[in-house]
Amino acid sequence: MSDFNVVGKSGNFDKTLVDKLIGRLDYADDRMPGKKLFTRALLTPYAHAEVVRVDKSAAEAIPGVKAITSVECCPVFTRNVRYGQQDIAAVAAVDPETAARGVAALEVEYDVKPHIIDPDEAAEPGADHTGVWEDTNVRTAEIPMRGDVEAGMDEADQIIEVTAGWSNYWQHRELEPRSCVAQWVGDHLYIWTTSQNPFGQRAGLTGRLVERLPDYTQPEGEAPVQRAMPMHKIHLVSHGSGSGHGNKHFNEWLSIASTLSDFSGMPVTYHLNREEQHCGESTHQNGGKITLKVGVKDDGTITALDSTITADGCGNGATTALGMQFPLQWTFKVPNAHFKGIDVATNKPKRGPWRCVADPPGDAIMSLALDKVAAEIGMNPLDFRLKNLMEPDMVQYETGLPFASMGVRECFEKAAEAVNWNQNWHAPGERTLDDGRKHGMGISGHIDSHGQMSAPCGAILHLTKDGHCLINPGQSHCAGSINAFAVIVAETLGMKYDDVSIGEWGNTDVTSEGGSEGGSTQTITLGSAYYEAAMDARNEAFEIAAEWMGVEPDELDAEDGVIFEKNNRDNSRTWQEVAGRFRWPIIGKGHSWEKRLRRPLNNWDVGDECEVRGQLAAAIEIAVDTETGHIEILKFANAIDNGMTINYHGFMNSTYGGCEIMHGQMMNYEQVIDHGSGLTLNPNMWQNSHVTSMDINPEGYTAIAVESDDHCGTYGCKGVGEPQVSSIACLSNAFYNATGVWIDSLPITPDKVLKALGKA
Amino acid sequence: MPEKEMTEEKRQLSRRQFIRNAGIVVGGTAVGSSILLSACGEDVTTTVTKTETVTTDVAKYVSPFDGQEFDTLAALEAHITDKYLEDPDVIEKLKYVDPFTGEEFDSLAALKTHIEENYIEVAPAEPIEGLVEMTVNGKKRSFVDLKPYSSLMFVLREKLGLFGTKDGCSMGECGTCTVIMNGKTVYSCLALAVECDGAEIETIEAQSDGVTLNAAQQKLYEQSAVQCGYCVPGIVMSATSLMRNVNNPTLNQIKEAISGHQCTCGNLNVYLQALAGLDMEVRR
Repeated sequence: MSDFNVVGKSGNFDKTLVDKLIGRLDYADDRMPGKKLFTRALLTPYAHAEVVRVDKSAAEAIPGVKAITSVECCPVFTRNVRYGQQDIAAVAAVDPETAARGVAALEVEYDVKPHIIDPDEAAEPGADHTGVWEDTNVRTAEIPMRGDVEAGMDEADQIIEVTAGWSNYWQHRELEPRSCVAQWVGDHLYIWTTSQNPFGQRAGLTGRLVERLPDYTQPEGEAPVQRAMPMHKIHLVSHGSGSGHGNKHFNEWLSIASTLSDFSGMPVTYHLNREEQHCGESTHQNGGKITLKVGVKDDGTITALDSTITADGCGNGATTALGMQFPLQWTFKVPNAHFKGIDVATNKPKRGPWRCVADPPGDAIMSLALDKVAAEIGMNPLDFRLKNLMEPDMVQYETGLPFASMGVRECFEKAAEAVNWNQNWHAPGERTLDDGRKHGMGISGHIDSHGQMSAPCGAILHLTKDGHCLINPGQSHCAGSINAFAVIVAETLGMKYDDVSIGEWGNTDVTSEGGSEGGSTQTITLGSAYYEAAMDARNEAFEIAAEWMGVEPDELDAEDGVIFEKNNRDNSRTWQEVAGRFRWPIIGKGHSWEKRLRRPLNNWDVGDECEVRGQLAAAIEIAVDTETGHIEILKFANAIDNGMTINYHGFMNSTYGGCEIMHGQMMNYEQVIDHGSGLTLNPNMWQNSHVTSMDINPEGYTAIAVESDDHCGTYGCKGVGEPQVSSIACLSNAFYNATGVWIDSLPITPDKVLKALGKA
Repeated sequence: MPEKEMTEEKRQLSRRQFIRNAGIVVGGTAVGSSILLSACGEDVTTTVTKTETVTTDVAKYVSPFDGQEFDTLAALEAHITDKYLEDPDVIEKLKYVDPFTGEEFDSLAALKTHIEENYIEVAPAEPIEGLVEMTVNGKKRSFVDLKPYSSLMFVLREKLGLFGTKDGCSMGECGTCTVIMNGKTVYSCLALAVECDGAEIETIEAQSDGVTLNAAQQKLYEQSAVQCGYCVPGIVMSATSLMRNVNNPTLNQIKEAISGHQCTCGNLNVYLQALAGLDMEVRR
C-alpha cells in the first residue's frame, strides 16, 4: 500500500460526487421534458399460456395513445407465456396513465395451460409440463468425479448427510428501474439508457432490430432488403445508472422503446413501473437446495464429499445448479468429490444474474450444510473451515491452474476477529443476553466464481497540452468503477488524481468498448486496459521529456505530477512543463490483459494461465427475541479479498453496502408467488423491501480489505462486487448458534423464527 | 348566460370580482363591467352606473357622456380621451363617482382604491378552472393544462425539466422523489400536482448552486458517501429538512429522518455514518 502514490488512497473522491449530491448527474430518462411518449406494458394474468390473438382496436381509439407493439411485431415478446406477469405488448402514449389505459384496453385471447411454481412439484414424475423445455421439467449435469469418492468415504471416521435449502427467490428491485429513451432520426437510432454494458446492449440490439433502409436504396421490382440493424447506426449513451447488479446487461426494454419510437415517430421513454420491473423481462436470483454427504475424520478433515444441488430454473429455463456448486467445489481441499446439479423448470419469472450468477444462493445452502456437518461432529464451525480451506500453493482441482492470489483464510480470520469470534462463540443455545434475547454467532465464506479477468476490452485516454489527462471509459456508471480507472491512470502516469478527469463515458460513439460492469470484472479488466493506455501515453511523453532533460526515456520516472530522472531527482519537470512541448495531444490506447500471471508465483512463470477469484468471509453476531421472532444484528464484519484496494471509497462504501444488502437477503428479500394463480403478489418495494435505516446498526458494521496482491490484476487488484454480498449463510448459522434450531430457507423472517421455535 | 342586475344593494364585492370588474387580466381571461366607472362632466354630476346592465360573459363599458358602449375599459378610456379630454377644463372637472354614496374622485385609480378599501370583502379566491400555481425553488410557476391524475413528481420532471427529483417506484415506497413542500418533506410521486396549488416546493436543484453545498450535502461530500447516486437527491432532501430543524441531530434522529428511503446499493448505513459524523474506514 505504501508503495503507491494514488492507488488505495482515501483522498480520491468519486469524480461524479458533486453531480450526484446536487442532482445534476443524468440518468436514462432525465431528458426531453414535454417531448417524449411514455410506455406501459401488458403483463399476462397467466403463468403458462399461449397468446392466440391481441386485439388493439379499442386501445388505438383512445386519445393520446400513439403506438402499440405486441407479440406480432416486437422481437422481445413471445406467444409462449411461461411465467406470470410476462410482458406481451406495450403501449406508448402522451403520459404514463394514458399508456396504462391503452394497455387495459388491449384484448387478448389466451390458450391457458397448467402452471407449476414449486420446483419440488415440477420435478415430480408425471408433473404437468411447464412448457419451458421440450418434454421435460428436469435437466441434470455433473462435474467429472474428482478422485475416488467411495474410497474417500472409506477413509472417514464419520459419514454425515445433511440437507439445506431452499434459498430465497427474488428480484433485485434496483432503485432506478430499467429505463431508457429511444428516438429514431432517419435510419439512425439514438438511445439513452440505464446500463451495465452499453456496448453489449448495442450489440444485442442489432440482433433484434431491422435496419431502416430508405426506399431509394431498395432495389426496384424486388423484395425489400431486410437486414439486422448495424452497430454504427445505433448511438447508445449511458451516464448515471441507478444500481444494476446484473439486471441491466440486457436490452429488452430498449427494443420495446425503439419499436414504439419507430411506430410513433417520436421519442419514447420506457421507465418500468414496479410490476414490470419485478416480473416482465427482469431477472431474478433463483432458489437452490443441497443434499450433502461428507466423509470426515475426527479432527475435522474432509476426506470426501458428494453434493447434489437442485436449482429453480424458472420460466426461462436457466441452468444454474452446477454454478451453485462453485463455492463448495473451489473453496475446500477435498481430494475426492462429486458434484451434481439438477435444474428444474418452473413457471416463475426469469432467473438471471444478480450480483452473481449463482454464488450467493450457493453460499446460502453450502455454508449452512457445512455448519450442520460441523455441528454433527461437535466442532467450532470456524475451525472446521480453517481446517479444510485451500492453501495458497495449491492448484484448483479441475483446471489444474494456480490461484493468482489467495486470501480466503485471511478473510475468515479477520472477519472472525472483528466480531471477537473466539471470545463470543459458544455451543448452540447456551448464551442468553441480559435482556432475555438469545445470542448467536455465525460465519460463512468461500472462494467466489467472480472477480476475474473478463472479455477483452479497450481504453483510450488523452494527455492534454496543459498537462492533464482525460479518460473516456466505454462503460456505464453504476458502481463507480470509472473512478478506479482514474486511479490506475494517475498512478501509472505519475500524475495527481485530481489532474485526471473523466470526460464522456458510456457513449458508444466516442468511447472505446469497455466491457461489462458486471461479474466483478471491471476494475481488473478495463483497469488493465487503462494501465496499458497510460503506459502508451507515458512512453510517448517520456520521449519528449527525456530529450529536453538530456537523458534516456527509461531513466525517467514520475509521481505526484512530476517527471524526474530516477538517479537525480533534481533533474525534473512537471507534467505541465513537459506537456507544453507536445506537438500534438498525446493519445494513449490499450487493451485488457489475459488471465495470465504478470509476476512469477511459486513455481509458475509470467504468462502462465491462472485463476483469479474473489474471496470472502462474513461473520455476524445477533440477538434473537424468541417472543417476537425479531432478530437484531449486533455486529457484522464483511471481509473481502480484493487483491489490492484501488478505489478506496468505492470499495469501502460497497463493502459496507454488502453488509446491508446481505442483511436484506437474509431477513427480507422474497418475491412471493401465489401457487394458485401463478402471479407475484408483492411486485413492489414495500412488501418486498430492502432494509430501512431503522433496521440498521451502522456502528456494528465493519468493512475489511484483505489485500492478497493478485499476480494477474493491475497493481495486484481483482474484482469485488459479487463477493461483497455472498456470505449470506452466516445468519442461518448464527440463528442455530443462538437457538439450537436450524432454519433452512431464506429469508429468516419473524414468522419462520416463531414457527421454528414452536411458538407459531 | 342570463343577464343579471347589479343593484345598489349589492355592496359587498370579493377581491376577485373587483379585479374582474376593473378589467384586470386574471388567469388569461379579461372580464369587465361598467359599474365602477362613472364620471361626470360639468353638467352631469350623477352616476350612470347603478342602473347599468352587466352580464357575466359580455361586459360593456358605458360612456357617461354619450352612452356609447365599449368592450374594454381601454376602449372606453380611449373614447373619452379622444372625444372629451382634449379640453383641459373637462379634465379638471371630470369626476369619478362612487356608485353607492356619490362621493367623487379625481381619478379612476383613486375610485378603485376607495372601493377596495371600503366595500370589498376579502374573500377566498374562487378557483379558476385549470389554473394551478405553485412556487418551485423560489419561482412562481403556473399551469393550466395539468391532468387531474398527474403527480407532482411528473410535473417537476416532465413539465419543468427538474430531473434531479428521481422516479424510483411512483408509488410512495422508495423515497427518491422526496421534495420539501411548505417546509415538510413529501413523496412527490404521491402528491397530485393539482393539489399543490399555492404550495412552496423545494427540490434538490435549489440546495446548491454547484459551488457551495448545503449542510447535508457537505456531510455526504466529506465522506464521499455515495454509490450509484439514484437515491441521493431524496436522501439529501430529507436530511436537509432534518438539519434545518435540529442542530447536530443524533444518529437515531437521522435514522428516523431517512427511514422512508430505500437504497438498493445498501448505502443507507453509509449515509447514516456520514450524516452523523461517524468515522468510516476500511480495515486492512
